[in-house]
Amino acid sequence: MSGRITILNQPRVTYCGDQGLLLEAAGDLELATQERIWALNEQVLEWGGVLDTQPGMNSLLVLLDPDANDVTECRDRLLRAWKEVRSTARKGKLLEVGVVYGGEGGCDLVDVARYHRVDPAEIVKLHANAEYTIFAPGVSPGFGYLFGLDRRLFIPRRDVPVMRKVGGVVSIAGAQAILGPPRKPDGADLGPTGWHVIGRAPDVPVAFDLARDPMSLVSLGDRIRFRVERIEK
Amino acid sequence: MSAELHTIATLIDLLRAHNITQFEFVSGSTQFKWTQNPADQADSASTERLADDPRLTEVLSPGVGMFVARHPLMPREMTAIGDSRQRGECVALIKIGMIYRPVLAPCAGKIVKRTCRPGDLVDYNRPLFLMQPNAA
Amino acid sequence: MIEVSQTPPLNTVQDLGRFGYRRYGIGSAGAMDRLALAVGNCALGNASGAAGIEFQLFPVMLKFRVDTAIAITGADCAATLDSLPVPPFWVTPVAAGQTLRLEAPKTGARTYLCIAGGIDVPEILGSRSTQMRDGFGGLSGRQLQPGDILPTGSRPALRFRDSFGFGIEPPDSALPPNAHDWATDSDIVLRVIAAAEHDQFDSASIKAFRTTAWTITPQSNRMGYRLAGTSLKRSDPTEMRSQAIVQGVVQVPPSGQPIVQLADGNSAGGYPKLAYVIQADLWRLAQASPGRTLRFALVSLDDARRARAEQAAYLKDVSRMSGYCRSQVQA
Repeated sequence: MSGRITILNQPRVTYCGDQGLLLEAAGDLELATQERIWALNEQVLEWGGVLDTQPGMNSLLVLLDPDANDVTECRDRLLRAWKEVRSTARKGKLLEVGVVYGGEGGCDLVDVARYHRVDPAEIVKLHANAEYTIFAPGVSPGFGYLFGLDRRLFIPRRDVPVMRKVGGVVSIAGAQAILGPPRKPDGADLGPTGWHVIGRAPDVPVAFDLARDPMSLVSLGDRIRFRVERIEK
Repeated sequence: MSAELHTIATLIDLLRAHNITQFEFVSGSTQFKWTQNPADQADSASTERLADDPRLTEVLSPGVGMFVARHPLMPREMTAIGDSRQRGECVALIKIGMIYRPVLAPCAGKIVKRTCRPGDLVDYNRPLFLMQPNAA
Repeated sequence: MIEVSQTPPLNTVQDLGRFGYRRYGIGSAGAMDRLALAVGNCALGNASGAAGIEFQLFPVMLKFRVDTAIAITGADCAATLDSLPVPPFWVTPVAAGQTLRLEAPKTGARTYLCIAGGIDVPEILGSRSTQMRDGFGGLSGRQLQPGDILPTGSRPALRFRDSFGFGIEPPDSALPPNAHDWATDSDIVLRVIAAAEHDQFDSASIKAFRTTAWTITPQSNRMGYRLAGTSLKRSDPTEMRSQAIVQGVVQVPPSGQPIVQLADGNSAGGYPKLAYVIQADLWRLAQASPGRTLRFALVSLDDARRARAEQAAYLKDVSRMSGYCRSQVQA
C-alpha cells in the first residue's frame, strides 16, 4: 500500500450490511472530530430501533432493527444529525503502562526504525513521548484503537499478516496505535496481525472482565501513556 | 397451499379414517360438501388385486397429499425396489403445503413394488408400496 | 437433557447471536445458518432465538436423558434415531434413552439441532451463543466435548400427529433460487450490495468480482471465508482507518483475494470493503463447504428488503403449519 491515508472531503453515510449505516467524517483524524462521533453515538443510542452502534476511527456504525427503522430514511437522519452534533468534550482518566521495547517481544522495532531511517531509540522516544486517546473499540475486548501516534511514526499496515505472540502487545499501523490486553490463561499464544509490534507491556492490566463492574477498565476518551522500562536488542 | 386447504385435507383424512363416504357442513356463509368418488374405489381395486397376494403387505398413505419419493435435500429416492426396510422406517413422504408427513413401513421386509408415482395426489390409506415381509 | 456421547471439535451451542456489545469489541457469534436454526425452533414452537447446537464436524452421537422433541435442520447429515434414518429438516419426538447419530453431510456444511425448550445454558450479555475467542457464552465458552451434559429448558410435552414426526420444506426448495448470468448449477449465487469502497476498485476488478466463479479455500471457517480467484485491485490504494466490520462484508486485503467476514469475524478492521452479502443470503454461504464456487449478483436495497420479507413469511408459515403437526399437551 502507498501509505497515504484515505481522507474524505465531505462526510458521507453508506450502507453497511442491509441493516447498517456507516457514517464517515471528513478530514483527518482529530480529537475534536472524534469527540463529535462519541456525542453522535450517544444520540443515536436514544433513537430506538437501534440494535447496536460502534464508533470507528473517524466513523460510526449504526445497526438498525429492520422492523422498527427504515435504513434509507435513517441514512438521511444520520447525516443531518452528524452535521448538527456538538461534542461534549470529555477528559478521560489516564492509564500508564510500562513497556519493554524491542527484543523478542517487540520484534518489529528494528524494521520500523529501518523504514523511517532512524535509530530504534528514536522510534521509542517518539512513541513513548505521546499521550494516546482511546478513540474506538478494537477487534476484541481490550484498549481499543489509540489516537495520538506521532506523524513521524506512520507506517503502512502489512500486506501479508504475520504471526506474533499475544499479550500486552504495543503495536502501530497506519496512523493508529494499539495496546493489547494480557494473554488469556487458556488462550492462544500467537495471533495473526497486519500491525508492527514494537514492544510489550508485561504488566498491562486486564481490560475486560465479565465478572467486574464496570466490565471494561477503560472507556472511549480515556488516555494511555507508555513508560519506557527498557529497550532490548 | 393455504391453511384452509390444509384444514380441508385433514378433514378428508378423518372422514376416510372413519369410513364416511358423504359429508356436508354449512355454517353461515361457509359451506363444505364432500362425497367419496366411487371411481377412486375402482382405482384402489387394481392395487388391491396385487395386495390380494397374502404374502405381500401394503404400505399406506397416512393422509391426503402429494407423494414424494425423494426429499429435496437428498440425492436419491428414499426407497428403491428391492430395498430392505425396518418396521417403522420412513420410506417416502406425503407433502401438504410445506409439511412432509412420513410414510412408514408397517413391517420389516423388502419393497417389491411402488404403486404410485412421484407427484401423484394421494388419499388417506392409498397403497403406495407393496412389501414382502421378512419370514416370521 | 442431552448427553454428548461423541463429538469432534468445532461444535458449539449457538442462538441467533449477541447484539449490543460492539462497544466492548464483542462480536455477534451466533449460528452461521441462522435460518436453519430459526426453522428448527419455529417448527418446535420455541422462540426463534432459542439456543440450539451447531454441528460443523462429524460424526456426532447424542443421547437423550428425558422424553422431549427435537428438530434437525441444515445440511443432510444422514441422521439416525436409534438406527432409524431421519430425513433432513425433520421434527420428531424422542424418548429418554434414545440415541441420535449424525454423519458428515455430503452436500451442505452445517447441521443444527433444536430441542423443545432450547438448550438452557446461562445467558451471557443477552445471548447463549458461544463466543469462542473471548471464552464465554454457550457451554462455558468452549466447543462441545465428549461427556458434556447439556441442560434443556422445560416445556410442556408435545403431542405429534404422526409418531415419527414431520418434515419442513427446506429453504433450498421453498425460497426462490438466486439468478446469475454466468452461474452453473454447482455455483452458489449470493446477492450483494456495493459497499463504501466499491468504486475505488478498477473497472476490471469490479467486473471480475461479479463474473468470477470464486472458490472457497480451505482457510474458511466461522470467522470468515477466504476466496480464491481473480486478483482485485483498487485504482488508488490508500490506507484505510480502522472501522466497524459487519457480518457478510466482503473485504479485499492487499493480496487481492476477497474475504467474507462471518459470525466469529473481527468486529473492527481496516481493509477496503467491496460489497456485502445481504443478510438473507448468509445461510447459503454457511452451507457452502471449501471447494465450492460462489458467484456474486449485485442487487438493490429493495431487493434485500424483499428477500428479508420472503424469509420472514417463510418462517411464519413454518410456525403456523407446524402447529397442525404437533400440539402442546395441556397440563
